Amino acid sequence: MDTTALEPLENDPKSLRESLSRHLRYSLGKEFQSKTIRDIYLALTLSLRDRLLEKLLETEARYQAADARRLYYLSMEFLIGRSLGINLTNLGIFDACHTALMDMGIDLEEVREQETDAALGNGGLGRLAACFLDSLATLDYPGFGYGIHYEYGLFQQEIVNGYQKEKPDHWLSKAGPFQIERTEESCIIPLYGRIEHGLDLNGNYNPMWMDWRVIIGVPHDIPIVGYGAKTVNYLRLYAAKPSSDFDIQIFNAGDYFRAVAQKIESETVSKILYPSDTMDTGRELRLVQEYFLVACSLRDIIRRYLKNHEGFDGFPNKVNIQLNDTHPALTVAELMRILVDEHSLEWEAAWNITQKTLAYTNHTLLSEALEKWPVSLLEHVLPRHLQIIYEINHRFLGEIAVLWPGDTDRLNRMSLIEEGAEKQVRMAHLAIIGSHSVNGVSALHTELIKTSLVPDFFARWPERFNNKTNGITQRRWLLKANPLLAELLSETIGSEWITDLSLLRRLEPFANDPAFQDRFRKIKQANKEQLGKIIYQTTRLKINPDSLFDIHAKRIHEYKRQLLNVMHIIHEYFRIIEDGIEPAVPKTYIFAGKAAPGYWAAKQIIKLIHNVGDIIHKDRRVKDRLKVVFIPDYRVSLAEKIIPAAEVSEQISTAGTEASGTGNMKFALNGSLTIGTLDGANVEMLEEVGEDNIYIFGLKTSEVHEMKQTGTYRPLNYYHEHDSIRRVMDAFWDNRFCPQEPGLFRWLYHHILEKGDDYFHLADFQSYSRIHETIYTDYLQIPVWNRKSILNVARMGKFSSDRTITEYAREIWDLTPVL
Amino acid sequence: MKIEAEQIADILVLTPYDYRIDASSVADFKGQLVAWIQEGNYRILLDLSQIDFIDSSGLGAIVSLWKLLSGKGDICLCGIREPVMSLFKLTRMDRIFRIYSSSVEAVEAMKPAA
Repeated sequence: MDTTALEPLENDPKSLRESLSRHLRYSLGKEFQSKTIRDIYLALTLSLRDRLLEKLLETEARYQAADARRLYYLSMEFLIGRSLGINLTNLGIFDACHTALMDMGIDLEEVREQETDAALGNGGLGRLAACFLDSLATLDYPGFGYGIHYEYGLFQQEIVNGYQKEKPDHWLSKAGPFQIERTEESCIIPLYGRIEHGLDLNGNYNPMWMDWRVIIGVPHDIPIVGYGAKTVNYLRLYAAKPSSDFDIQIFNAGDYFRAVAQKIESETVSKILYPSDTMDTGRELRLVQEYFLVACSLRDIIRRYLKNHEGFDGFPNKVNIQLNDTHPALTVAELMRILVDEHSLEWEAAWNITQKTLAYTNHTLLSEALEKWPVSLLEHVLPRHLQIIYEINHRFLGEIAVLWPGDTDRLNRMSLIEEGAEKQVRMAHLAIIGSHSVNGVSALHTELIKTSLVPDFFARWPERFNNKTNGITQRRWLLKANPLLAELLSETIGSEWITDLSLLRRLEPFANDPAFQDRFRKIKQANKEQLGKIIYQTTRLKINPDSLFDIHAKRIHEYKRQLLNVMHIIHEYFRIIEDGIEPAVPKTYIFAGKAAPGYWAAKQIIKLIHNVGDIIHKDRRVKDRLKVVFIPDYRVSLAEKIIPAAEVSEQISTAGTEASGTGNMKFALNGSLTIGTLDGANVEMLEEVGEDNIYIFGLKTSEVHEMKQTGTYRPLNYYHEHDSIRRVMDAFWDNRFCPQEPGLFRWLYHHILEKGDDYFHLADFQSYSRIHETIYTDYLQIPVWNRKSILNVARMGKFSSDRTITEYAREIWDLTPVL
Repeated sequence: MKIEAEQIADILVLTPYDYRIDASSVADFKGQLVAWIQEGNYRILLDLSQIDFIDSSGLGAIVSLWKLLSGKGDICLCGIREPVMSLFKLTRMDRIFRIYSSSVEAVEAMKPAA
């Protein structure tokens, strides 16, 4: 059948109703009378998928006709969250769909609640990747995501007696049918084996990769629609399956159990998303996962390229590959292997192509988070790749030795191989050497990469290093998450901000307008009340919606300093009950976030938050002027409800530890005022909103660095000099917050006072307390607070991922919109 | 595994008639070929035109035959389909064998120069 003969799908309520009814009957086999809300969700998703696929095919035809240069974004994580709402919004059919369902007596919001989050990421890195896909499609760039089709996403968090308990997140069992399995485009991925050294027909050295095992990568495509629906790109996620050897062995070898065990082992590769901060467990599986992503992606990228092109000379002109952190750094070795081994290119030509094609984004300054793989493990899993890495290193160090003769320390520092009891491959070095661009994700972070993290590489290739400050998509984080505010903004300044966030500056004249302020404040109040209901539903705690909502929502990690926040809450509590000082405003401190399952200290901090909350809530002297809430199971869909309700957003990492942060941007875009250190993108937020509209405290990066270098930070001095600090620390020692479990929090006393307080909690405590006092003073001046809040919204334009992607496209990818 | 043998001059053309050479069939495949070699057939053309897939054990078997003949004979390959060829390239085995597109072309090339 000629597909061009098909009528385009209509998007009016009647057509949508017909689509839905058709899918209900013919895809799900249900009568309307016997439908469930789940059936409606599935039928609606299928109706949307039809429309997305129609646009996806149109988009691909356009790219083909233009022989477009393409961007492939390789990431181990895509924290997509829910898709139904954003797809309705970006397709421009939210209202039509709402009407269509209303005519059938169905509430769209109830249908949307049927969707589970696709939690295929840990936090900022994965969510950034998802925001980027939205911006790429909205800006009509040929840009595609490549990742892993995890069967289990990030664990679900339950709180039992104040402790985090992890539950598996089998999201696929409840996932809607947006994704399409493309079995016909599966690829074979070899692993393990050995190198057989020998000579080829011409007498040249010829290492042969023998005795490998095979797993199959099966792609699943999720359509990504841009706002306005001109462009639909895809996110391609690979699931690992056993090769069809499995069946053969069952019937021929008769060893059924071994065959089944091998099948399960193969499928394990895409079984779970690794929580961050769990580097020591399951390392081999994680390495296999990383290679699986890289190998599947490259096979697909090259297959697509070779459909329309001959040879590889033009490859870098048509293909850009962005490595999201070092997780896909094996792309360097795999692309070299494919070009040299499979396509017989000379090494130099292959290296030139590899470098021109790849670009690398660094995401961390924490040295423990920089990936390294034991040489022995790499040799076991990928023997040919290890050979290639050694060859890259040999040539690279030869070049460095010429540039810096006699500087053996430099050679050791820059080598791909870290010497020691166990030799390790430094993946960040591999990514830097193999890429034409290395970027940080905020101005401060990029400077620290150049000066502290890899200064030797900056000295070698200064032109290669650049900054791309992270951003967030306003379609999800304002238009969809905060519909009341979005409506007010569009009514006031027009709706063009949806695709050009810099236009929010048009709000500035309204910052002092009492009528606008009043409407703005009422929206915040409505969002607070909505969050209050969610808090009651999830924790059974009643909170005062008129209290100040101070929110700290992000992964639980020592460097993010949830502990500093808790210490200050304890301080405020003691001020009430021991000093008799009434707080200026009633406050609700709200926490949300997951700790990695193996990260003991982070999990203890969750317990501490709960215990402190319990003690405070039971203390009648506090009279509800202080509440501490931990909302369990932080995820994208929950963040969309938490963030619009925030009045103060805690962005308080130790200076020099947070690469950028994106939660900071999401909160400010929704009118929350930031209390933050000069860390990550907070620095640029300060520049944008102005110092009157943000609450900055604490040591600067240079000061932290200096104190570390000189050994002049002595937590005990702060303990002795400041009564308020001593009182809080003594409370940990005296079991004030764990009377039933004595000694539970004494580790904090040791950790901070005796083991050096790695994240400078005590050094920043006084400054943090003072800035809170300033906040309360300002909060009581309602017009002043409103003005600051409105100006935060108005001045967040820079932090749209549209701006970030435009910069990547212009300065790294040389990518142009294809319309 | 059925392997058809045809003698053309001093060349023994062996054509396995199966879709796959893998763990379940490799012992049989290798055993038959070793027997042919042990009978004194040192110039072998392996026609893989019927094969869709060879796993690493199958590739290993072909390499071991190549080693067995090393110094006393020759083994060439022909008719390799694309999916199988990609595995030869992946392992770099394509660089140790003379590979021809068809048996006719291979036999012509393997004949001693007149």
